Amino acid sequence: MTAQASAIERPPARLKGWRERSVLPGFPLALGVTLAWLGAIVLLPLTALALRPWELGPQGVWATLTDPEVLAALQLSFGLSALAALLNAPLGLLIAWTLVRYEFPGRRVLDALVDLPFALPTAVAGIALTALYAPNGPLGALAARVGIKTAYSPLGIFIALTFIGLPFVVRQVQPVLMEFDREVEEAAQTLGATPAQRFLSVMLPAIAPALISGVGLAFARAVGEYGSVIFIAGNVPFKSEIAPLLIVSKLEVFNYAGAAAIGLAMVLISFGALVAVSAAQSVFARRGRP
Amino acid sequence: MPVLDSGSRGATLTFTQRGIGDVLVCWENEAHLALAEFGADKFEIVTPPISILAEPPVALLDKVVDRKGTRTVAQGYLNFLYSPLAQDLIGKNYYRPRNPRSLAKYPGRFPQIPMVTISDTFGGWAKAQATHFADGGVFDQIHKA
Repeated sequence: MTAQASAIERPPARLKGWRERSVLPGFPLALGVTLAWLGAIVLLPLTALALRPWELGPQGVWATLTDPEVLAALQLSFGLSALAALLNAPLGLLIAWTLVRYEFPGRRVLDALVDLPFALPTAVAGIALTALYAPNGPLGALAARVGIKTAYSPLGIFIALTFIGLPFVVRQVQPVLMEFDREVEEAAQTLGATPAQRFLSVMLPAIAPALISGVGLAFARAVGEYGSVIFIAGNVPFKSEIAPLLIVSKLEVFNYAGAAAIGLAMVLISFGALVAVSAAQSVFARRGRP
Repeated sequence: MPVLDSGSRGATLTFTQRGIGDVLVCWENEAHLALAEFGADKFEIVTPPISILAEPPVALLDKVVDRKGTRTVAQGYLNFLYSPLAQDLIGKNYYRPRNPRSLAKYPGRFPQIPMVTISDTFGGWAKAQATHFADGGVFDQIHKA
């Protein structure tokens, strides 16, 4: 988070040459630990995942992924995750703005509340949301009165994904907003910029990289979210069955390769999305630098 | 079918607490538990004309008890499960006791139902799994229909 903030202020430090002595000691050791740890924690499981599906043969993998139920689940997971992350962009920005720019009683409590979706066990969040949004829950009953089905429908999944994604956006944007130089804003004001211009042309370009990164993180988290969603989703195939649940179902019938095939497809799609996010981020970072 | 929960207790809670669905297909003990928890007037138990006998296995693993030196207590626990006291407790918690005398202590709770077993009627678990629950099996076809 602070890395992005500082990236706006000064150009990124050039990578030191391999043999060149670094100012900081311990570079070989630090790099070694980094590589070993990332390898063991991230790369090894991913490699295992990438190798597993092929025992079905290329045709088997293709058949698994083009199965209508799998396609429906993937579409539901990625579509709702994107929508939830996009909704969290304006709301997360607004919450971050409120917490940074205004001083009011209870601000610290609200600030701590933002982290709740991080801290809460996902099953607890799922059960709490279901109790709220079930047709006989307080909010669910209200929605049912106007004919909207919340829990046990895709809308319920959307609610859960919005809930877990919010802190990512707020916590990415907050430090950048805090570091944002008010003088720049004031200068724009003295030059006659309207509030809308000040926000769109001065603030937003500076915040955009952090906002995009927050949205990307919220999206990535939502795609893989399992615990909170299964309670509120309904889990009916073709209607409210998320892809992670389908993976678990395949594991339960001992179809490990099929489960890995869906997992691999999800990783690849997510990876593509994150690459796109980081590309967008660097475009805005270049543009946003004063 | 409005909800497909990931486990039987979850399904019971969705049906009883959230009021979702008209009928809940569940284990016999879950049905009794729901009545005990929420009141006998809230739900009605419908006994099917035929059912599948479901008996969770209980076993003593030689390799494990020998390694841990727990053969005596494990054997004791295993034997206790079939003692009159344990069988009474099992019936009290809405599971069908094996012991006929314990079963008789709960008149009306466990109606006589003709029961089939997985091994006799469905050709064993391996075959039943492949036919009904594997990808594209009977269970999947129900949703796709």
